Amino acid sequence: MRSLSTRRTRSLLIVFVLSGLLVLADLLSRSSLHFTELASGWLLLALCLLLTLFNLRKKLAFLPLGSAALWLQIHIYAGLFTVVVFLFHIGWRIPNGVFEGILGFLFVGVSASGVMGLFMSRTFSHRLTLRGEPVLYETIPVRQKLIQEEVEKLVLNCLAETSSTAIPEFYARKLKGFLETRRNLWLHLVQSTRPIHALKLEIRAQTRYLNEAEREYMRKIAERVQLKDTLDYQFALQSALKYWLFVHIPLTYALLTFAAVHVVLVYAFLGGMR
Amino acid sequence: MNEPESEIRFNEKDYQRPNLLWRCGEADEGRTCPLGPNAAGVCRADLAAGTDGPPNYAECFPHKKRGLVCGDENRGATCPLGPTANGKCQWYQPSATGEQYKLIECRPKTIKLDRFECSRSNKPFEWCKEGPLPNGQCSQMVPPCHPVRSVLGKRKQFTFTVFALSIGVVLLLVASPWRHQWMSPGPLTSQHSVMENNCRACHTAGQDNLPQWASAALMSQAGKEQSQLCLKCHQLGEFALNPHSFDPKQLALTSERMEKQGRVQQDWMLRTASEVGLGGLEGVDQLICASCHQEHRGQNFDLNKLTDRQCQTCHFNTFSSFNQGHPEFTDYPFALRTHINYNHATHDAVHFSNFSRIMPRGTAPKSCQSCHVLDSAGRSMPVAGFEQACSSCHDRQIKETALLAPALFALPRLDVETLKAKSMEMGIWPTSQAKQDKLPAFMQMLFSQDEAFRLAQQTVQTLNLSSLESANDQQLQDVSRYVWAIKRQLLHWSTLSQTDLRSKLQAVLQGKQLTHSTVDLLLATWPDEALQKTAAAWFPTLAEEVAAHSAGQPLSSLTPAETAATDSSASLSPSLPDGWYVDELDWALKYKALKHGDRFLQAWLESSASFVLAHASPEELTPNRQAWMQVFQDFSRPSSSGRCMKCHTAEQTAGGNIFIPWNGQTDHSRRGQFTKFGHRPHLTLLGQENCGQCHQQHPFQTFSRPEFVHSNDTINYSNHPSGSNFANLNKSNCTTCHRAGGTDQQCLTCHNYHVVPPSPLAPSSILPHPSAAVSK
Repeated sequence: MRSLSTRRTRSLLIVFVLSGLLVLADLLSRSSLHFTELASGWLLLALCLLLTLFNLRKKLAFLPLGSAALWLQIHIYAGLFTVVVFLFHIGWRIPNGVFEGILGFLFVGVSASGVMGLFMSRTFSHRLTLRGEPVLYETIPVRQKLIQEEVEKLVLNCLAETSSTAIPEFYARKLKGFLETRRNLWLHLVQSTRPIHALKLEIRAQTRYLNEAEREYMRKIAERVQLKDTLDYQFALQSALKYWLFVHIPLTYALLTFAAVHVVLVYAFLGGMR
Repeated sequence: MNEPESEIRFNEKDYQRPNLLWRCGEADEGRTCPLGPNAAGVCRADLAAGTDGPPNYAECFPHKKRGLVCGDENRGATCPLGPTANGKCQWYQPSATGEQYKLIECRPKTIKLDRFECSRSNKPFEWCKEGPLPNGQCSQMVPPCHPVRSVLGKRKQFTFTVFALSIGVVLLLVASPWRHQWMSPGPLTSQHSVMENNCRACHTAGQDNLPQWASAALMSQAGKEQSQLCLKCHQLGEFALNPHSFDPKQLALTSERMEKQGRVQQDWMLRTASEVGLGGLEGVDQLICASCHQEHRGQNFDLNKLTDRQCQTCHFNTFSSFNQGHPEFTDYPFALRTHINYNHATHDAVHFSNFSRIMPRGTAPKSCQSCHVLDSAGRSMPVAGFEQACSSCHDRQIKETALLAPALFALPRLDVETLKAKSMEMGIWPTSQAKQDKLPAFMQMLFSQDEAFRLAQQTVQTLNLSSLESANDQQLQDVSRYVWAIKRQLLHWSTLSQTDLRSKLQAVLQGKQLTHSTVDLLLATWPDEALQKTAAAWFPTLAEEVAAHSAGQPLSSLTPAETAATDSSASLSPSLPDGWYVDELDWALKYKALKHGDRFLQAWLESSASFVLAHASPEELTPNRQAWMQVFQDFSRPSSSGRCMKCHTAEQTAGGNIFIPWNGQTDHSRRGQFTKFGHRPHLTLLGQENCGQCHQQHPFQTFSRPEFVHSNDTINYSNHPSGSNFANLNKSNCTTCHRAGGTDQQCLTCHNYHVVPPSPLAPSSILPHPSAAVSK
């Protein structure tokens, strides 16, 4: 099996060659009075449909249509080539009509979300393996609840054993909100550890005033706080990996809807020009 | 027996199903239901509760356990041994040989026991540990929940919502009254902005809706129809959609000539495009406007924006740029028939060099721009006009009495003595100073409508009217009729009212279609006063004489004073209006120009020129036409009154008619439509005094310009271009600046595509009427 870098180089080379051919064809056709936007438009539509078929392929897993990995590679690099075709189609200018502006915005939205999704799937999945054990996304709320219950149990035990309210008060003041809700999701996306570091500093500062038994409880609580932060990290990155498709796929269907009407309008108003 | 509940299978594990659209509502609380919701998002526990009635749904519906009992009905269940686990009877006895043998005591049978067992699986190891309750209820009760969508379900729902929303937006866009604004791919150029919201002005599908657009998209071949909408305003002539809006036959001739010379393709890209089938539009006889003019690109977009390669895509020979490969100029600036017969060579070399001697009161030009000024468009350098360019020298020449002013009204010299001797009654006839034997062409032209005059004139054509001694009586009678015809016509024309004059002139013009201004000018400048006074001076009793002669009365009935002949030249030169005079040498009524642009001379030159035929057949040379042609010849001599045709030229149309382009500006639209040149930027860059860098004069050649005036002083009217005093331009004149790295050298910088200059926009129904805007 070829390595990732070899495969990537080969695929980029294909895209580069195709783009070069496109540039040449565009130059040649622009040297004539042929209406080049028609050819580039049909090519663009065909590529968009090919890219959309990737989603269909995932639903038809039982059919022998090639591996999903191969389809993903085709999807990524065909998408890259589609962006090049789109730029040639619009003549490297911003569409200035309302309808075409919406169409252009949808294409940019689909492309940008695709690029963002590709970036996240390449980086976030790697990051997830580096921090904590893999957690099933759907079980994160349950795990969070368990952690919260464990911490509450530790706090109550501490209160019963030491009769000190230091930890319960600290829990009520600093930890309860942190454990009940998911925190710092955007900061986790950018790999920021500042919030958990600040919370750890507060725990450390509080620990200085605790007796030995309380310190043991606080140590256990700190472990669970760290676990909760890791859970938030997993949730943030996995949410990003799942929710970028909330932009990519809906915009794709909207794009195809507008593109279909665009084709009708072009041919109706073109007046027979071919 | 198959029970409906048995279709549901359970796992004890907290199984997550992220690939389903719905998930258990208790999943986030860690109490995931092993049943899970169905595909419609309904809790199965709730669903089952609704059908069977119990408030909660269990994992299974335990059924009574089945067991084997003794088959001997007498023993029933009281058999002390009972069947074995595999359903065999345990009752046996030893055989006689001492070997054990099985005695089939009974056939065990299966019955439902009073105990319950789990039913959630056929496999006992999948049964729950707790098992059914003693009363037969399942111990694993499942509380119903409100299922929630999984991430996948949410995404699908959101995708569907956005998809439906996009369809709604599209329908809103195409169905709303503002669809033209919304569907427009961009603003129109400022020239077309008046039609911004009027799609049907330029598109055949402009007034349709979405279904009709779809139909048009499938069957659209309306390119030429759409271009016809453009041509409603942009009138480009008969061959508007042909390449270059040019006659395809002439273009084919050009192509044929080029093919014979052999093809040269210097531009590699055009050559490659041609080889791969992306070259010219072969087989296309007509181009639609949108091939070159792309709209909806914004207000400031250049509709004429084309690359040099696009310009050359149909051309037989191609080249890279003007600097590299463009053919050398052969005859540029194109030879044009100028409207003014001006000889730069003689003026510069002869007149202006001796100016103080020849024209002491004139003003010599200091530079080319003393006479040529830039037009408002900044393109050409037309003559500034007579007042600025010519008047200081030529104004006096125009006002001077003409050397060869044509006689407009004059009497032929008549042998009065012989006629009196033969007792011919002819009344008064001043004879002492008349020199001409025939009537002037002007009078012949006017009198030619009178049948009696024409007949009389024909009879005396061979006679020498100034010497009739040898004439016989019949010939003398003819002369007498001729004399009286002249007198009648003279009386008639000198006493016409303005209304009658118009009808008489129209009769003389013989239906010639002149412009209204020319006819009005003829009427306005008609010399009624001069003619009346002259006629009265020549024939004091003309009316009485004509009346008496017409009535057959003898002229002796008139009083002696009235019949006395007047031979005094002083009395034959009455006081006449400005410009009119009676030449004392020949008693002819003549006219001299009052100023440049004299209206009388202009009117009669234009009128008479319209009768001139370059190649007239004998049938076409009627007496009337001949008279008119003679009038034109008299007026158009360079030395005639006003000397109009010394400087102004006459041209021949394609139909053979002659006209005089009075405007001194050369008509550039008639030739060289493929090229254009703007003087303004070149004057700015090269300086006002450096015209000679490009326009280099030929050496002095000749005084005469035979293309305008023949050697016998007759006008040379033709449609041939005139010779130039200047040498042709070379490409090197231009490539000094127009080159790579220099200034612009695109095709459209110097060339026009449409060789027919676009006429002013035609009023069209597609444009809003101004009154509509006012009412708004």
